[in-house]
Amino acid sequence: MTENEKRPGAPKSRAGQNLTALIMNHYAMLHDAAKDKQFVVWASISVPTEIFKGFENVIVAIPENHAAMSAAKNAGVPLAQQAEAIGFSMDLCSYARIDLGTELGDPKASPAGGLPRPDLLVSDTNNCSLLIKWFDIYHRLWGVPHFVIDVPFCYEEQKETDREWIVGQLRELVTLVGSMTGQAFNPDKVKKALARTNEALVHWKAFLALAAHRPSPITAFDTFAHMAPFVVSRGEKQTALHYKMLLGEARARIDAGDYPVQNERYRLLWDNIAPWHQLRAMKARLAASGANLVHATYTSCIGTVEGGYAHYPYDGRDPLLYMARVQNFSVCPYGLRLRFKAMAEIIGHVGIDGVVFASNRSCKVYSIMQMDLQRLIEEKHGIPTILIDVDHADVRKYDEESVFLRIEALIERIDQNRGPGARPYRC
Amino acid sequence: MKGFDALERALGESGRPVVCCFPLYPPLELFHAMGFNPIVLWGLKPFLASTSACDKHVQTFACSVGRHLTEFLLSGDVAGVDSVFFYNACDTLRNLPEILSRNMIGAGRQAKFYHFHVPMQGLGAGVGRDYFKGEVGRLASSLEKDCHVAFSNRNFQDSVEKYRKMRGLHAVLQERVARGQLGFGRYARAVHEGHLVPVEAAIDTLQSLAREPPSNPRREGLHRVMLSGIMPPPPELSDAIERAGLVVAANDIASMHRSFRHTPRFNGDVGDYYVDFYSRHCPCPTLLFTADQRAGYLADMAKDNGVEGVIFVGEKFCEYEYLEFPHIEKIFKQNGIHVLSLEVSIDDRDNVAPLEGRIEAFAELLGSEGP
Ligand code: SF4
Ligand code: SF4
Repeated sequence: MTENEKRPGAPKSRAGQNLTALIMNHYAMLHDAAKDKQFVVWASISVPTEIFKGFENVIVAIPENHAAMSAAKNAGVPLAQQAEAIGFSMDLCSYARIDLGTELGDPKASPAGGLPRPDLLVSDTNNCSLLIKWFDIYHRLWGVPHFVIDVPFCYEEQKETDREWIVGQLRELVTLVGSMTGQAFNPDKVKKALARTNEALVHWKAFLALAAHRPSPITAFDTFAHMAPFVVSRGEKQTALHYKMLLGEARARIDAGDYPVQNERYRLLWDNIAPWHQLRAMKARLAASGANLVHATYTSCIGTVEGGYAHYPYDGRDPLLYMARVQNFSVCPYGLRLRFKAMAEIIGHVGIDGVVFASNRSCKVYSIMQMDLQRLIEEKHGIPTILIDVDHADVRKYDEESVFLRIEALIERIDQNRGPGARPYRC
Repeated sequence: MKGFDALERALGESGRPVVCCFPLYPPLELFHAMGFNPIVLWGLKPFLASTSACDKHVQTFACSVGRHLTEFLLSGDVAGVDSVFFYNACDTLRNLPEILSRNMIGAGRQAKFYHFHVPMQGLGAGVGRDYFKGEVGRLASSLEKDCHVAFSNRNFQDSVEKYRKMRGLHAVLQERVARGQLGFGRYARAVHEGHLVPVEAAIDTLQSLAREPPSNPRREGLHRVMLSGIMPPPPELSDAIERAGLVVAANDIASMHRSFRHTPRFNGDVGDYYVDFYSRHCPCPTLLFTADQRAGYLADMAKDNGVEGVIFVGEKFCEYEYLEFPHIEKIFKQNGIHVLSLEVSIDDRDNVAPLEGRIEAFAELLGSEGP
């Protein structure tokens, strides 16, 4: 347990403080810039937002980040209820409901006061297909253009023809933004932004790799929180600096022998989006029992492609080609083979005792196939797994006691695997 | 597998290898021209006793369409599935191919999997069009290689004409339904069996249905409704709709009208054919690039068919449909058309009594305003 966890309410680490400042500044900047009539793009998380750095005064808001932040700050349910009240089914993704509730209902329930109205919507089928429909609602309602980046589903290594198709679309996007803003595109600025992202990702991957240390100086919960700068401010210097700071702190924890789960006995892997409404509670309850979620597929994939573990670096050449190539970074829409590969890589690099598959009704693209993945992991790696029900942003669909009952069963199986001398575990 | 024998016989008698396709708008003509019997895995519920095989692989929050097609392919009850074809669709279906292939192989049932990618940004011009033509070409080449058959324009043209005929018969039958001469439930059943048999057998069935004498002599006082959804309502609900004095004047059902509206002309280039097929396809939430056309299309359809009310048949857990419902509902209401929204889940298909009550109330509402 870190000093912070030993003393609830103790000040955050420097990186934690920096993260808060960075995110608060980001949302304040969005509103200020929109007041200044800057060009506002709403983009989904898989859109390579460095592309907009090729223009001046184009700012980017990420509705999924806003939804995640709202859920983490207990505002998810009231915002989702606003969407449900106007006819959106409770079966829909909770990010979509939170965002639709914010924008079509009263944005005052949002911790950031909602997002400034967009001039352009850019979505990406590599997130999921649902997201296209979600953005389409704003497109129809506000008459704002909606540009869809269509990425062929990722079942294998990206084909040359698929890459060319994505590059072609990125060129069209550049043309569209250029015509809407009346500016010429500057590819050198995009190269510079990609170089900064690259630097950020080098630190990020080094930070994640520290999880191999026993005990781990990091938790998946840290990665959930600190993925935000990558999401909202890619291509910026402050993002690279943030990850450098984060890495430095984690290294210092190893030197000081100060670990988030000091008595770490169970090293777990999380598969799905972060349970935003449970970050503190779940982390604390696991830590109290010697269990640490040391990695998550959700955050480990950032900076990689197609189930690899290593960083896929920017080579400094054609920025559109690189951005097209790294469209296959996100693990969530992979096919079964690549999802398994990604998990196997993590198991090999980090050392995992058990896998928690969070079956998430909100996110079908991430969840359907987990039952087969469970079997594959158990068969090929002999690692016990569980499937728990978690909605990433709607706490109404989460039952802590039944989840921890299963986690307890997982831990018992880990103990059994270790043999008779293993200590019993209780949550 | 319940009552599948007749369909299986029809497939067996044709002597062609079977390719099972999903979702609803696959390149049927191409497979047919290459010597396959393409069938579309939709509307399988009447033929399945349970979803026990699927339940080991797919969570219950997937829609019934995805779960039933998984059951169909994994239960092992169907002999002779030689190949599977899929193209990119919703978030549920995109995850199924490898689950299916892995577990079919595990059960000793080897099937070759094919797919292509339909650009969801659109096929109008330039890169999207060229990319997609490449995808069609790649599929045709794989089929040539695997089947040891060269693609032939003449065979393709023959197949196109068969599918054109089959789709044309659907227009005729829907017209008979709209005139109150044929029960919608009966028509829907013929459509769904048609998805699962050789196109030649489907044509025979539809032709004999078109020749039948009118089944419903009542023509007066019927209120004209349109049905919209991924699947038609279960048979009991279709009957309830008609018992309540409603006639299905038009349907915007994905497995029915949306599947059959358009057959392109073949100009000698199979890539062009499918560019036309998808780019001028009936708007459907699953074809993302048709989104802007859909509301206007439905409003016109309702107007052209004198529709007084629309019944949405919501497929539980279908995000595509549910994210569009509020907008479409608003458009209809603005046009003075009443809307009833029903949700049908995998189990509700066996338990329709509460939905029947809502249909009766809806019919009374339309009745209170007069035809
Ligand atoms: S369905 Fe999943 S991938 Fe899509 S927006 Fe929701 S959480 Fe994200
Ligand atoms: S009904 Fe909806 S969710 Fe189900 S397969 Fe069709 S498009 Fe996908």
